[in-house]
Amino acid sequence: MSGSYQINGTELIDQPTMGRWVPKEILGVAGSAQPVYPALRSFEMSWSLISPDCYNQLQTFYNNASGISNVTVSLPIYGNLAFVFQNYSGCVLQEPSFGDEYFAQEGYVPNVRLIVTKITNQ
Amino acid sequence: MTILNSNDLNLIRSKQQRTEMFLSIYVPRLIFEAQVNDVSIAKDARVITYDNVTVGSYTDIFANAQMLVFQNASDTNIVSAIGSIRVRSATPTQITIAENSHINWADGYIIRVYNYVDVEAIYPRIVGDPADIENVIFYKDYDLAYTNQNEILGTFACAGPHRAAFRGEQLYWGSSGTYNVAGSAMTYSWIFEGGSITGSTSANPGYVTYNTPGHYKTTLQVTNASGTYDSTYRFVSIYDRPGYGPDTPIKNWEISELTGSRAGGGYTASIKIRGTIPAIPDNALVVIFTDDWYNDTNVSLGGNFPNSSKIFFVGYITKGSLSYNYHDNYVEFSIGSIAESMKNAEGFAISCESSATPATWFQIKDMSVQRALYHYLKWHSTILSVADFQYTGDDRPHQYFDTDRNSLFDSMNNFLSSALMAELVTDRQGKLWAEISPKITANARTAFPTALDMGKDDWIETPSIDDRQLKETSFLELGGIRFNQGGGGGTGTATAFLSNAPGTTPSYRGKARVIEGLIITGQEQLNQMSGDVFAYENSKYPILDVRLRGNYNHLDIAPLESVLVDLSADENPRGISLTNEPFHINTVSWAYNSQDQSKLCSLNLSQLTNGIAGDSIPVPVVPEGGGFGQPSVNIPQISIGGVGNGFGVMSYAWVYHQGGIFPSTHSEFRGLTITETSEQTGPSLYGYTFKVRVSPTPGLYIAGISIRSTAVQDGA
Repeated sequence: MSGSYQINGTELIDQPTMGRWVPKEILGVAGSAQPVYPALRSFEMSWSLISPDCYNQLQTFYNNASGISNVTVSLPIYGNLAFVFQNYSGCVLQEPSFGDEYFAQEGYVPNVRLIVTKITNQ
Repeated sequence: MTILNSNDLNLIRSKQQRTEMFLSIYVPRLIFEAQVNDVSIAKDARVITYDNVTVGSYTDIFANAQMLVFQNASDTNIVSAIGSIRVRSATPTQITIAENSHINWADGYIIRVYNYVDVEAIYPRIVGDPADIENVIFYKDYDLAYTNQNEILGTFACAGPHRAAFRGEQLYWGSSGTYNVAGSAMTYSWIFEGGSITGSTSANPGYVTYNTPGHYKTTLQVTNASGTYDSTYRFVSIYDRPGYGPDTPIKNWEISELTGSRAGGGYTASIKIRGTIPAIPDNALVVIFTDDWYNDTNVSLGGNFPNSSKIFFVGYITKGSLSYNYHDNYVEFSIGSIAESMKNAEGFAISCESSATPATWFQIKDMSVQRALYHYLKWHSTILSVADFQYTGDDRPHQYFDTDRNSLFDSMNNFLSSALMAELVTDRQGKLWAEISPKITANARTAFPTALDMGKDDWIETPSIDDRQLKETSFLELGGIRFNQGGGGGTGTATAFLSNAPGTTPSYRGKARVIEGLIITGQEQLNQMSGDVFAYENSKYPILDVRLRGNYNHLDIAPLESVLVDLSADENPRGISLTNEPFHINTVSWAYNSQDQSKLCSLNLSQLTNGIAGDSIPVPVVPEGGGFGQPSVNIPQISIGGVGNGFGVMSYAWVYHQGGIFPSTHSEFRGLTITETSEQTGPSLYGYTFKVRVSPTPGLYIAGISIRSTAVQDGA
């Protein structure tokens, strides 16, 4: 593995448990039977359990980026099974979501997801 | 029109496409503020005396600028204005405005003039002539008297769309489409507020850079050889690109499907803006501009005005459509092309006629379609101040031009449709096109440039195509008038023509139709028209609906262009096969998804047809007297009591009624021709008998006959 998950050059405190490139939804099928896809991709990061500090870090990234569409995110290169990271700029963060409950001890947060959209060049 | 080259066509068919849209709402700059200084001012005031100037100078005010009136200086929100009115002129102490009765003027009111022109009607005025009780005097815009305006005429000045862009970008300025209806030479004067060059006298100045965010006005003044001029204004909004400064376009907005329809005259959509927004006035100018990518190529394609492809849509907030949702914190409103604004502005009925030597406002020199349209737009609306206009048909001589008391749009569109079978349509960038309908265009199948050669790689899902099996129209009769100006003298002559299609015998299916009142150049043209309309109304494929796979940004509802369709039998459920079949666009709908930045369009098309020329119908000869004369009347014999005293002369007096005028004497044969008389017979026991056959003069009728005998002495 080369690299790590970062947002605007800052490494995430807790690296995601899982990350995936969200499959593009087909806009339609052309008359030539070719599927038509949008140009942009999305990436989903998820954590089974996340520390409060890491969750706060994600929320801060979102709050700071709100209204300005440009964030640079370091993600595994699409379609590269070697799990090599590269920077994708001009991306948009959705607000991080989390599960309904907190662990009683130490406030750890379960089932956290962060979706990055407007990823180009793939 | 935008005809793409092969490289651009390849781009629009690229697999990875995305569009980022930006919403601009023009915020007019306050250029003048003062206070009403007239204790006797009241409703209907047109000349406003002012003092206490707090913003600008009267020299900053331009004709047709918008003025808002406020009760107090502390009323800074534009939506709190008590009235809006158009400015006509200004002096150091007074501002003359359009006639108005909707503002209850009062001393001390605040008047604010903005760097903006609204879409409005301009009213005519007719007053009695004090020197002649039977005459009236016409004025335009309340007190503009006729001198020679309809002889000199003027120019459709075109300056392209209203613009929006980011700081540091260049905007192209040119006068493409500008046309003087009298054929006069033209000179140009440009003023670029906020631009890196501030002005130019070139017809096409080219690119101007804008380095400071703000809202500006560009002015184009086109002067003809006689020294009179036409001015038009374009409004420019410059922003910081998001992430590069504080003055960004509106954020957090979404748009419903933007749909343009030729039948509706333009485009409409609905916009929602979330969060805190400034006050938005009705009829505010809206510009949607874009960044487009085709694969990795950042280029915008399309748009009818040269070098302005990033301007996707220009229109206005529809009056009365603003609504605020305070619970969910958003504002929603409808937007529409200038055609929608024209539908909300009502003008007065206008009548004009052609004249070789116009002497009043209702006479236009050697009137043609273009000249009539120019007259209406120039003197009865502010449209030419804020939009490009172009008539694409042949400029036919025309004797009478009449519009009803109707909206600006209906007045023009009704004239175009009834007299020319033409349509008034706004393109996506806000230009008004008056175009002859494709149904009556000669050689329509090849008359229009080809915008797209569409095959299966271009659409998604399955095209839907109507296949007409039975004719809609079985017989069509067209009637028109050719007006001959008369070589510059007199009032010209009008000749009527009739034509029918398919010919003498109707088809065996469909309905018969009559269309009359067309302006034409002669029988041959009318015959071709009737054949073309017949063919179009009976076209085999009247409707084709198709959804395209990408950002085909060069397609528009105006001007008319053809789309060639290739369809194989296995690509549609009806098994229809088409090869390069020409269609024209009726509607275009754009669906935009801001999350994946996909921008797709759907088309509704109609087949283009060429007709076989119809047959000439002889126009019935109008009988003498207009066909209203009476046949000959046989007056029965009338016996008169005898006067057997030897008086030899009997005279008959015919009393008749001629068109309501009762003859002043009884001894007139006016209007009667005695076609037969018989000798008096008699004397009989009962006197003398006369038989007379008379024929009335055409146009007169005999209301009654009385017989009176007057005894005269022989020799008298």
